Amino acid sequence: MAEPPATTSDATLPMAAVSAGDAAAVRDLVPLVYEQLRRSAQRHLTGERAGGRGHTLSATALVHEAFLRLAGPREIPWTGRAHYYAAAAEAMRRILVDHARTRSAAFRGGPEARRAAINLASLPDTESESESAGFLILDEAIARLESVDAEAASVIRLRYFAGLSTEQTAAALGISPPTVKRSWAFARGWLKEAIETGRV
Amino acid sequence: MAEHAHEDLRKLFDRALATPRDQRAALLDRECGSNPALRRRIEAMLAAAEDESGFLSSPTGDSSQAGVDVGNAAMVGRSDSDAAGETLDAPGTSSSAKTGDAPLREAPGTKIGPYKLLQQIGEGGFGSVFMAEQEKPVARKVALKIIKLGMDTRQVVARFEQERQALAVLDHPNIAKVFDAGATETGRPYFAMELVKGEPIVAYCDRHKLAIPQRLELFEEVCRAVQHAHNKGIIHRDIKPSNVLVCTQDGRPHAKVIDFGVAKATAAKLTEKTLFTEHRQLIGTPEYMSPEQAEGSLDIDTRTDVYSLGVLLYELLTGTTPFSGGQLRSAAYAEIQRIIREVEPPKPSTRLSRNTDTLASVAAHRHTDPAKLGSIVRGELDWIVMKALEKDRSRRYETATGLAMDVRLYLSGEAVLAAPPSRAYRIRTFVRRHHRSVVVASVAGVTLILGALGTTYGMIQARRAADRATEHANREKDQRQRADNILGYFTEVLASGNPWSSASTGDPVEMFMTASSGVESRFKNDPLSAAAVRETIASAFVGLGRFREAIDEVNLALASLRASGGDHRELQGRLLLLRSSAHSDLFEWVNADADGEAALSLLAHSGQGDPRHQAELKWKYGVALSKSPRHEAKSRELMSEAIEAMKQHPPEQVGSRAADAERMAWYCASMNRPSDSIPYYRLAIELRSRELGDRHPRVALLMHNLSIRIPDDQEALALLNGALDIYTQTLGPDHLQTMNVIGGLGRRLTVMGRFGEAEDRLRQVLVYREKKFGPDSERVARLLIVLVDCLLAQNRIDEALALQKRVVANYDATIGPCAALAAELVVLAKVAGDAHEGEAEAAAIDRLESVLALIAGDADAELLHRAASVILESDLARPRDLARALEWATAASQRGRVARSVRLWALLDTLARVQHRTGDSAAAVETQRLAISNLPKGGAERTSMDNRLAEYEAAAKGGPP
Repeated sequence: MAEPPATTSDATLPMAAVSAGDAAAVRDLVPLVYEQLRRSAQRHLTGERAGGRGHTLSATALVHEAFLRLAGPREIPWTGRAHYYAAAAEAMRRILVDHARTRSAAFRGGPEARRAAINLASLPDTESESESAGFLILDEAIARLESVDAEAASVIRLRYFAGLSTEQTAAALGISPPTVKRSWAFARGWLKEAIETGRV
Repeated sequence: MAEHAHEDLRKLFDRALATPRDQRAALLDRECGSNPALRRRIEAMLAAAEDESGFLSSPTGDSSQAGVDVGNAAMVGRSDSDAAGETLDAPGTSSSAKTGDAPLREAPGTKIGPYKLLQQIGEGGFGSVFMAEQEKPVARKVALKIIKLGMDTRQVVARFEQERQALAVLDHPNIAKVFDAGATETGRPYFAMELVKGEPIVAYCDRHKLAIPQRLELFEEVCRAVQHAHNKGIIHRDIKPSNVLVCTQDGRPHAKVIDFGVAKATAAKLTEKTLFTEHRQLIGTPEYMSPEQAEGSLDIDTRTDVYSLGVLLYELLTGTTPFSGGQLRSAAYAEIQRIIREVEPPKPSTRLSRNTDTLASVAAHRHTDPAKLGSIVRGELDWIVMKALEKDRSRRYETATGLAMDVRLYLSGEAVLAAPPSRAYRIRTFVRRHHRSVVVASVAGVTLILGALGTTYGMIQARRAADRATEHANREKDQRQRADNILGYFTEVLASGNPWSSASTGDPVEMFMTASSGVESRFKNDPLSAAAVRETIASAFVGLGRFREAIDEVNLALASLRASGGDHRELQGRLLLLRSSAHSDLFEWVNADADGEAALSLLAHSGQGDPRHQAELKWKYGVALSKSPRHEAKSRELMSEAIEAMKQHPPEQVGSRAADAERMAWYCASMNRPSDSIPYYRLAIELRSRELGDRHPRVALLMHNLSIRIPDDQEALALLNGALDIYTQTLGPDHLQTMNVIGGLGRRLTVMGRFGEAEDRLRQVLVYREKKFGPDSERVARLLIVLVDCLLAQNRIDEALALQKRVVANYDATIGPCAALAAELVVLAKVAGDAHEGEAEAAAIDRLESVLALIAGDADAELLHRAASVILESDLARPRDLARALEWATAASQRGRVARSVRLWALLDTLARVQHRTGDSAAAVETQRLAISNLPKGGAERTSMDNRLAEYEAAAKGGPP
């Protein structure tokens, strides 16, 4: 478990160059963070197996933990972290999507997947086919939401993928906590309604 | 969708959300009067956004969202008035409970499975709790806890089913029963449990201003309840104040632990999924969570509950948890983990002195003043709490009972077992630090040497302390050098156990042989050190079951000691005791006794050595002799004297407490008070595990001894298997002790009626002992006795008879006439009778007669009674046999009366039968009446005894036959 966040420095380097509001900088950061997370998760996985626990995954949990390690509050000052979180949330999303795609073959797109999507309380268990399929639908819905309400989609992504609290999300996006709460409520309502009624 | 349309949607949604529910309809009427589709959509979205379970309900840390504080089971069965004042221990979840705007799906009147909801009695992030009524199969009121979770209900229920059987046998006054689990119509899991009135323990204690001792008593009760569940194989996993409800019963606080089985059923999903999504919700209640649980480890055992109990105790003492909720909740998940796993919390007394602003009120709640509270908690209570909170679970209390016991010891003013690390511990860590590879290489050698080394080192250190007072620094330097030399030598010996070293064979016996042969040259100019080293080696040989080698080593040590000149009577005494114990292990009683006597008189006249130490040595001698059936009385006397002396000279060092517990356990057991010995054995196991590690052969020995005294078969089997495992790994499969445990298994399995398994094991040990000690050795006879019992229980009379003949021949040759031999003759006579071998039976009875005549006073009532019975039941009792039987039965009744035997009725019954058989029916009538009057009420024998009385009366009336 004692995986030192030694690779953090790789990520902080480009971070120093990032200026607030620069979407391109986030994109540049994603591959780097993604790679770190994936490597870290991989190491965890093999470590776990070697430890004989015989417990496959969950990759989600491991990646998430790896992320929290990388993004731990002491490593990066808050001012520079907004991009980092956005990048990490995106990286997390990609990893999960990768996993989910390999898992969800039987369920993809069907009514069962839709039901699974609206039953997702949190990140999917990527070992579960139905949850993986549901997750892909949710991911699509978030993409649709983004096209009409970027802020609500950002709130969802930071909270859902990066696991940030209301306050952290507010700080990361530079908006007030009540705004985050409103956007969160709206996004949840919008997404569920959209999935249930087949709008997405 | 057009962009402006979305903006409208968003605006309207935000407005509606901000509008109180009862006014929303009006708002929507106004805003979408012409657009019913929009209205439906907004309404659906609002419902989704305000549904705090299910879809995206758990990745948030936002206090307006209900948490998925799964383990949180606050307020089950609370009365309304209590619930009103309650805030959940997770601050984030309280707002939703207070504002109460969460949509309620279940309401009074709803039927869920066989339950009808009556009223809501609690609510929180986990869901809601209702008082409910069950009509079938029994009419009763229950607490129904409905989990508000977006989790797989089927799995929750399935997991509950797995534990249902275990939960069903939980029967303890301090545990609330969980009856049932199921799914509501909306698909949410629910649990039905015993309705408990009460409030969380911490709140109760504060409200009633319970003083520290009262709190501790209550806490002890909780520990016992948790232990009960542990004994049944159930781990709670979520012990915290809101799961320990207290009410006043008969003027006393009475605690009930609720939610057993709930955390496990709802937890598995947590570790995989929700665990990492968000701080507060990821994990039940981080304040009470053990490091291994926080880590997400799948390997959770009862010690996780011990940790949580430690947190609870911390809070009962100080009013706060070791890590405050705020401290944990403000941290990122990795940080929470780090805190729980790595940060050492302040001791309770330190915490009290730091929180100066709240100290006054905390003290007032404990019915004391701030200064006093600090001094009550400082020291032993600090230690107890900190031991329960050890990060490494192997250093915690092994069991909840262990914790309870220490609390009890504290309350009764005795020394507690928790303490700062002992000297032995420090030596061990020292060696381990320097010779890690060695420890791995030769576990047996190292564990043995460390025990012995501790003694030697301690002795030298103690002497050093004494010297400091009388002699000057020179001498001290000398002593230190001696200690270092000895330590250095053993370090080399240990290193030879390293598989990378060319000298290694890996066999500990070999290792100590090598060590022994090196002593001569290494300590040529220091015979005193040579003797000390040899003492260590000799005790290692005893530990390895090499008794002959041990005796040789002691002889060499004694020679060195003589060569050194000077007065070393204490060491000499110890060496003689060691030899005595080796002799007793070889069942060489004459030598054992002689050495023991010599040692005692040496020690008594040594002039040095404190009385405590002497008492300990006397104890050892008593224990050595206790193995001999012939020296029972003497052994008991020695042990009693030693115990008395020890009581007058209590130990100075904490490390000695383990030895004290062992002694008391052994003492009670050898005084035929097995049930008294059990708590001492448990304490000893706890202490030794802490001191030596829980895989130490010493711990295994205690487990084995405890198993003999434990009435519960399953627990005994578990202990035996545990001991077997430790011995096999540390001492090897062929060690004497390992074999003893296998024999113990055979014995217990016989009692349990699992004869096949029992016999396999007993025969395995028999082969071993015949080979190692010779077919005619006393140890073989001891085993044959058990095997005979096993065969008799299967009605294999002829085989049993053959073996029993061997037993008697063996005892005749080895120990000679004594009560043990007489007892075996009784068995022989009986088995021979059953096998219709009249000659053998008659011979056994004749021999029995002569042995009983020789040991006269040593035979107890039970033995005499059995001897008389065997004649009574014999088909071919001769008149002179019956005369003997009369004599024995009379003596048995007399002795039974003097000793106030609870089985006096049986002794008298037998006497009456003999009297009747020998023609004195009048006396039989009288005796039988006395016997019946001594029979406990409801005795099953009453009818047959009455019948016999009638028979005697009839015979008495008819005159002598």
